[in-house]
Amino acid sequence: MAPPRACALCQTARPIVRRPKTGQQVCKDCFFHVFETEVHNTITSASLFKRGDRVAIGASGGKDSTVLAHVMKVLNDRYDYGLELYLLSIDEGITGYRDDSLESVKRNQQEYGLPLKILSYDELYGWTMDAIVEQVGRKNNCTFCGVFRRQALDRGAAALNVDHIVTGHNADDIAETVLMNIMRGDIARLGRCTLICTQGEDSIKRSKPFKYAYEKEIVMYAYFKKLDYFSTECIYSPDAYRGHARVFLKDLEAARPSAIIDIIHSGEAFQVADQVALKAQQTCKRCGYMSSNDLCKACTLLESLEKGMGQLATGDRNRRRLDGEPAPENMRTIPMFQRSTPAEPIADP
Amino acid sequence: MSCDAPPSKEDLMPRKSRYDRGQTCIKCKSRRGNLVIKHAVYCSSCLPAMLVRKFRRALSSSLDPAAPSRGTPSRILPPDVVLGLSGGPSSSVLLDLVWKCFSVEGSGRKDERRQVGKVRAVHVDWSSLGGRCLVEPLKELCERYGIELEVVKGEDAFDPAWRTAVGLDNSITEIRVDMSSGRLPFLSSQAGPSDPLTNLRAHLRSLPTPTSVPATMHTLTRLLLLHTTTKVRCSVLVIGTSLPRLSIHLLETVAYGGGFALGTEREEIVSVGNADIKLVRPLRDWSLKELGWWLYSRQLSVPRGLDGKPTQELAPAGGKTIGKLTEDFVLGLERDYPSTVSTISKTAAKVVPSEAAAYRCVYCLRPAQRDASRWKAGTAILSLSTPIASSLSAPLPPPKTAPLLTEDNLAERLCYSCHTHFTARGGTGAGKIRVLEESGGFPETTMPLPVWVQRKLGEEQMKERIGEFLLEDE
Amino acid sequence: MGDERTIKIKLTFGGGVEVLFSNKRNQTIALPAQTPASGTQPSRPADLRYLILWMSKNLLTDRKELFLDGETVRPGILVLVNDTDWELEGELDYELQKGDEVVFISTLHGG
Repeated sequence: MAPPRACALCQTARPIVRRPKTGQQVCKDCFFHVFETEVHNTITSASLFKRGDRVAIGASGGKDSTVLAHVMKVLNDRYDYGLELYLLSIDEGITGYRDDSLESVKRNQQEYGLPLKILSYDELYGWTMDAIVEQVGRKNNCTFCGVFRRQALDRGAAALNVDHIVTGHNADDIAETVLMNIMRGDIARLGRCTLICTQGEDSIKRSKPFKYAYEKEIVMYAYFKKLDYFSTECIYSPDAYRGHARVFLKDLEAARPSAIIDIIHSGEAFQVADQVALKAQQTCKRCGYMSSNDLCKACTLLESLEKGMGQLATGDRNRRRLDGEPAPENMRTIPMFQRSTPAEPIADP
Repeated sequence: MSCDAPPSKEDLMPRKSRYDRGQTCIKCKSRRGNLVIKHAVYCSSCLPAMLVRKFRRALSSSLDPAAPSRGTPSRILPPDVVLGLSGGPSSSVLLDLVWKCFSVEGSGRKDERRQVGKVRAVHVDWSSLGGRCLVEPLKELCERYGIELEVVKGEDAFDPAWRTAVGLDNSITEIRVDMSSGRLPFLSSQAGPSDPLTNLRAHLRSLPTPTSVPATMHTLTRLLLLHTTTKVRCSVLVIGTSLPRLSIHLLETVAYGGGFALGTEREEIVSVGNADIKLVRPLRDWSLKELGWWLYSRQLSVPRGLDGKPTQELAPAGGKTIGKLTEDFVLGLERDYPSTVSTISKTAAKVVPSEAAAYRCVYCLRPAQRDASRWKAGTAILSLSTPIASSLSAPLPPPKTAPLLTEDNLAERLCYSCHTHFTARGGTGAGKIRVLEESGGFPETTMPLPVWVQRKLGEEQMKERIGEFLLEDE
Repeated sequence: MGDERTIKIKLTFGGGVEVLFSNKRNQTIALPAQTPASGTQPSRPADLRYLILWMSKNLLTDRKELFLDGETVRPGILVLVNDTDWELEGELDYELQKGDEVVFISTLHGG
């Protein structure tokens, strides 16, 4: 028996894809419609934004953030969200990787007419990832990059005076993180990782509108919309354990595509039994960033680099050795950007 | 975006040497050790007492959590227990340990204060689907311990006579649902054959992907055991889930979207009919090493060989189920990161449901959140008629505004994972189960349901649904 | 090469793994005392790695995947050498001695 040759959604047009998330055969227009509408549902059901919010899109030039920038613009226009959108890009200083991807961010900027702010590790920390890898090697460099990027985004958001950063984390990323946190017993992260929105320092919110969007569909959307993105993997990114979890997740998806969303649903349905007592938050004595210790993570890591002992910075036992060393003279203070509070809503022209 | 703030590899799981402090037994500190368990070394003289103590403590504390460990005897009567036996290695270990710890002959202590009353065994036999029948060897094994074995067949779940036998409401006839709609509406027509085996096969065949088949058989087994426990008027069902099996189940449950009831995989109290049954797993902290050592040192025979899984005949051709993938994944990781299995179990012990249960799933009887199918409709749109919020400030009306207006369907009374098993389609790696392909007289989209699923709402459920309209203290 | 070309090894199966070995719980085998040289690999005294390979060629007929995982046994099968966990004896690298007893116990094939 021949399969039905009409789109499962509109019942008229010729289907061109089997939708990875649902297995339905759909036409191009219906695919765009459901992909965008699901993101819209995610945004409205979580009440992520309010009219007049200034929102920065964390833009790396990769597929997730390129599609996110496009979809945010489309939804903002279609449903009249009334948001002011910005692009915020972090230059980690990785030759041959970030150079090229920043070019694609700049092309996005022109196409969508959104203001772009680029902030570099070099400018903030005085170190590029190339220089960090030279000192610490390839094993633990992702720890540095992760901490530095998180702070860089926050500092960039403050500089843009925005209320909210949206990032391109997709459903696959979140499901994978749920699995990893269960397997390594990271209860605190397990409780947090399925939250769509978290609020950190300076009350800047961070959220993930692609929480339920499948990686395959993001790629498919970019392909059919002919969006321009940079598709090279980071040259310094070997995380073997995450690799295992990723392969497992792909296998589960092949057995039953809903597994990705089912895992996220699981993560949302439980919470940590005895709330792990959170350390009282203070501000970093050196740079003023939110911190649970005297020094924030970025300043601690930076100090280890300045001492030439970066490779010791990621294990507890080594940390004691590191702390014994006096801080070098003229330790750099990571620049803070102050938001002009309260954020002034900009009147519609 | 997968590189965002990853913990370093050391933070994750260090690959340690298999044992920490030399080869001497850590208990007696004199003899050379024979077995490595979680980095600690034990000798063959210290192991038996240690394992007996471990089992006794686990089962006693589950049976009577309030009882003092020593001294004054508990005032409650020792409960009768039912052992659920699959015929695999942990069944043999469970049977032997219950005898060794809680019988006068086994423990060798005549003055033993009794903690366990009468012990019975129940086995669910799936051989009518093609697997090997283990009834005879299991009977022999149980006889050696003086324990009576009751056998339930998988198809009994679809047998009205069995429903009467276990004391369920007999006024309802078998019900079927229409699988072509995600809401799973009940069908009014009772057409189609009704012998139990045909119904069982049609039930499994109408599941949308092979992954659902072993998962559903697992649920049916659990429910058959629970109902049989009420039938013999016991309140405790003991099964031999080991630590690796528990961890595999936990991860599978997460992959099925069953995070809400994750805690019940470790221990649960289930309302079956009018009785509360406690389901306990006293081997849930037993590693493969401990199980293997007990099997070897006690020379136990195992009725089911390595090749005799009940779902063996139902393995999909050209694909793998989520259950099989999870088993391979967990056991493979355990080899390189030996703490994985126990970490998964410990993590699951620390989480609780994020909200109060709205009801119990009519299929698996586990606690459920309200109406999973509506949540899914918003995150994965299957029809263009799904309502869409018109703007930021006008979100979708919450689904509970009009519960009484919807048609009578099964979806609203299932938990998330049962709904997933009944509706989610397979992907490119799903494969096909050949032996279930012939239809047996049922249309493709008709699914017969097991006899404990009732169409009528119980009074309590009815009240729960209209609760917000009732005035307090009328 | 020594005088004895083979060594006697006692094999014991339990926990259900015996179904793959003609349902016999005990067998005594004569294992070549030295592994055959192959290509760049010189001959070496027989170890557990070689025993498992030898068993898969000489004793296992079908369904090898239920017992084997690469050059070792599947996870879930406990291996004891003379009543001692093989992890205490060097696992695959343990050099077999005349009269050794090797036990294979399957512990995980439940449902």
